[in-house]
Amino acid sequence: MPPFEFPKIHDFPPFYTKQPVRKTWEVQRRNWADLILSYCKASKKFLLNVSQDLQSDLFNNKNINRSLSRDVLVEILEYMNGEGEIEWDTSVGKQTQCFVYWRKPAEWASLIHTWITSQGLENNVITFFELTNPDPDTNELILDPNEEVFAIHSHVMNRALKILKTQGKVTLFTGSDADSLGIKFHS
Amino acid sequence: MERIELGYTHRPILYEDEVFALISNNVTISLNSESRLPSTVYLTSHRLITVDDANPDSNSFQLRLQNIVSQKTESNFLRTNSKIIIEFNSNSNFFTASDVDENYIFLDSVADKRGLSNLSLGAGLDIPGSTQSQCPWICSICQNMNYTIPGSKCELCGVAGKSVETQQDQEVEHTNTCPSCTFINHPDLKYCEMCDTELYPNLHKLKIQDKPEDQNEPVKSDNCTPPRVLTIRFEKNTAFSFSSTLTKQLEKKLWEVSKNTPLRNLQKQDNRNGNLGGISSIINKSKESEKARNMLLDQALQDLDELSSKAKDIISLAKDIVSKLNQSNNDLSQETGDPDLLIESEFAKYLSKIGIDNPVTKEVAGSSYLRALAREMFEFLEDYVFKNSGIVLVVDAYCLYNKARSFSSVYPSDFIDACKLFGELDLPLKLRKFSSGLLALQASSSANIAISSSIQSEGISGDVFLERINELIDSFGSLSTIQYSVIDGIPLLLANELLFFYEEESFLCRDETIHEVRFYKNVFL
Repeated sequence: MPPFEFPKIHDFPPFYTKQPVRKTWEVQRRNWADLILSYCKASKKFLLNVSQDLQSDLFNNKNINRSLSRDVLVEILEYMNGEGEIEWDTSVGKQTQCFVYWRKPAEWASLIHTWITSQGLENNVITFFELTNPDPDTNELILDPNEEVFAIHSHVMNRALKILKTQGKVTLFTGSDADSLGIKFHS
Repeated sequence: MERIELGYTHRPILYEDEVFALISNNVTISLNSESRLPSTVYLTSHRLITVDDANPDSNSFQLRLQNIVSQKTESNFLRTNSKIIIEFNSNSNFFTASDVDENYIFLDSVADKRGLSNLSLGAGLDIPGSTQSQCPWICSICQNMNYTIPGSKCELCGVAGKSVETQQDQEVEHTNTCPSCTFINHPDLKYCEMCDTELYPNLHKLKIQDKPEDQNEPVKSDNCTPPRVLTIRFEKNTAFSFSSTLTKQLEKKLWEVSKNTPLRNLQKQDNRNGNLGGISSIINKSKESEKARNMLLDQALQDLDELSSKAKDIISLAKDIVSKLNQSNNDLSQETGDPDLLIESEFAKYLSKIGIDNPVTKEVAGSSYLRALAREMFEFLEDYVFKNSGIVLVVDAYCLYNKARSFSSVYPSDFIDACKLFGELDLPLKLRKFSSGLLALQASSSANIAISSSIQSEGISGDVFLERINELIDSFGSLSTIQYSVIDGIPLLLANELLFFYEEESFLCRDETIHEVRFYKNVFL
């Protein structure tokens, strides 16, 4: 995978200072949100850990010796949360980790559904495990590795399936654990 | 040492011409090695006055400088304080003609020493009318403190003060209570108010008895009394400065000079002529004082006029120098980098800031004062503002303007009001108020007459400063307040306000680091 090419604004020092003027800040915030989404999309990153990722190239620009402060990042993430672009991972504590929806769960849902129908897998029952893990015989994923659906985070997959269920496009059969969840896609 | 009266703030009341030379507090005084009293010492041109800290009203003394025989200063050693030991002749002044009225005061407070007082008064009477020194006496009617010759009329109520003689009698009477009922009667009464007993006989007797003794005593004291000693102890080593000041005052001998001032002579004459009592004399008196006051005021204003004429001289001098410097500058203009030249031009700049020939004043301009002021201010400030990147602090402008006016300063509020009129008068300057409340004077390009060529060339978008800032950011990449201030010679405060202003207007954005805040063009928008 080619390294992510940061946009020009990533090298702009004021980008790392929270702008005191509200109008400017709103734009700056949006710029950051877009950058985070495209960065995660490029690196297929579903989870963003605030403390760890602050050290990453994304938030720490060594070229111009600037880095984003935690407070500002959290503020940006809160804004993205409001926009439905991330979701805080409530299992690990407040504002420490989040799922980045560089595709919204609804998009994922329709993506999965179109792919399943294109493969002719509708009306079959597939387990959650089968859906997210390679076939032991062919060592191939049910979801094609070339597709972006590849290695989708289970949390995100769950969200997508729930959306499909409310749309009436899948039937879920609860199994003994999360992996043995049965899924039947409808056309 | 003589007891004296103090003003209501417990400061000594000065004679005319008398000035404070030095005031020392936290000192202790002891007279003839008596107990030390914490006091404040006032050294004036005429006297050394000690005011007791605890009982200022009763324990305040004066020592006339002419009575000082010698002084000795001792420095502090270990725990002893520095001190001045002053030897003075306590009685000599009782017998000099010039000091009769001082004795009078003295008697006032130590009337119980009747013998002494009698005699000194006698001495005073021996020199009729020739007494010149002005020592305060208190009118028995209105309690006014008078500085005229005792025995003349009170300045306030016009009632003749008791002659020295009668005053003395009064003093004596004070001590006499009614022999039968011990009631203390008013001095003027001949019979006791209570029991009608005759009061006078006793007194006369007393006087007669006393007199012979008195006559002997002063003579003795005059010749034989050894000088008395006053010791003033100072905190730390301040005694030396006190002693040097004292020496200076002793050398000046101001008390001798003061007795011949014209004002005093005038007063003396008045006292002699105006023997009429009653209302007419009061009216005369007030007229006199008014005349004197007017004279004084006139003199004072004449001084001012003189000062302003001097100021005019300086202004013309400054102009001369400027024109001469300009000439020489033209000659030298080929040589560049000459430091002298730089200094000279700085000097010329400084000089050019001096002097507005005929400043507009409220008296001259009347109701159109502010407008006239605005025009004059514009004429003066125009150059200054345009030379300083088109913006200056109002405070700076105000100071400079007032300096140029030299003598007839304008009020700050008038200045601001006049600044507000620039727009109305179509003058290309305007008052700009920043969000922090900071006031600045700015060259306004919106005015009809475009004076500055720089504004004309750059003034398309109307905001020279933004253009300038953008220009600087383009060449430096970013701009800090200090940089901006230094490069364009704008006051730091103003540079800061300007950058903040344009940030607020979303033209700029900031990069905040531990070192500083740098401004960049706002690429977010």
